[in-house]
Amino acid sequence: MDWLIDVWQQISTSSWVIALSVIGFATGLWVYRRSGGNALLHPLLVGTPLVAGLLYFINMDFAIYYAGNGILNWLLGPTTVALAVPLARQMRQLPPLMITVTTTVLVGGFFATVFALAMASLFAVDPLVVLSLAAKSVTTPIAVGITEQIGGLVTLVVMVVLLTGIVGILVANKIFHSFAVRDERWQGLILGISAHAIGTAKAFEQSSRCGAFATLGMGLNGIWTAIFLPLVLPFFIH
Amino acid sequence: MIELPAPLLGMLLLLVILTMFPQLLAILDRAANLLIQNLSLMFIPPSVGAFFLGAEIYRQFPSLLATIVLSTIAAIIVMAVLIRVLPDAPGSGPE
Repeated sequence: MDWLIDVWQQISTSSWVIALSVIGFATGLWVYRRSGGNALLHPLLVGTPLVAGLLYFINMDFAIYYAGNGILNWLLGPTTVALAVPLARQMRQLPPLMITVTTTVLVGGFFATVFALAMASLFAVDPLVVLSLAAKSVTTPIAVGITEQIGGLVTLVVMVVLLTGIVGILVANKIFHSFAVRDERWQGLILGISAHAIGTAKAFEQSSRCGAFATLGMGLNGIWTAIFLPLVLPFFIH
Repeated sequence: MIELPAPLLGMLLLLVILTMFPQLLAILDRAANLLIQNLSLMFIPPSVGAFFLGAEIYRQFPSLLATIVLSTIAAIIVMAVLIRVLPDAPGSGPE
């Protein structure tokens, strides 16, 4: 029953500081919608500096703020489980295109991570930072779980994942054009694998079919990365 | 032995159950969508933490950003090329 006590402690330390998170989220969402969905004005990119500024202003310790948001952190678990619902809806797309989808997920997901690990090692980034960017192409709730597992900084990976998604949707169309990837199913799949939820949202703007394949790519890559990442990490972290 | 994060195991378990009993989708849809649509709210606390990481990590920010940009572009190019060479994926099909 220890886990139940842990859960209760996390939830019961929640306090009024959640209001700061809600203010940041609501403001970020408002700005994002007013901008007509500009990726550079993602709710987190606007809301997060706002909350950080408020914490400086009222002189509150980050640790106190973070602990006070216990229930929000806890909700991430059930929400990760809930990702099975949209994924299950898209699984029926899979059988006729099994080979293409699985090959793209296995190869693409693998390289998305290994490229990042290799470049970070090349730029001589601190091992702790390498661990915190390893899960960068995975949807954030899964990335948080993976990062906790491998010992990276959860506070860093959320920003890294966000930036990856934004870079992904900014460059994807140019690359699709250069390599003549015109089928929107594959465009969606690649967006979901490389740019997770942000890429998926972008794919849904194009069409529901494109979004469906993005959902599939995002979900399958989350599972796949969690499996292979612990196996390749020792090659990059000594 | 690979240890998967517990929430991911939960997701896999639910995925298996939903594949076996698709009628459950209609029941879970609303609750799942409510959680997923408000995901960004749950990421506010950890991303605020990115502003309190300390000078040691900020010094590495340029390398970190270069890694993110270059590796993301490289991964998308690999997948675009892959899609073109895979047999049953007519990347140039009329859509």
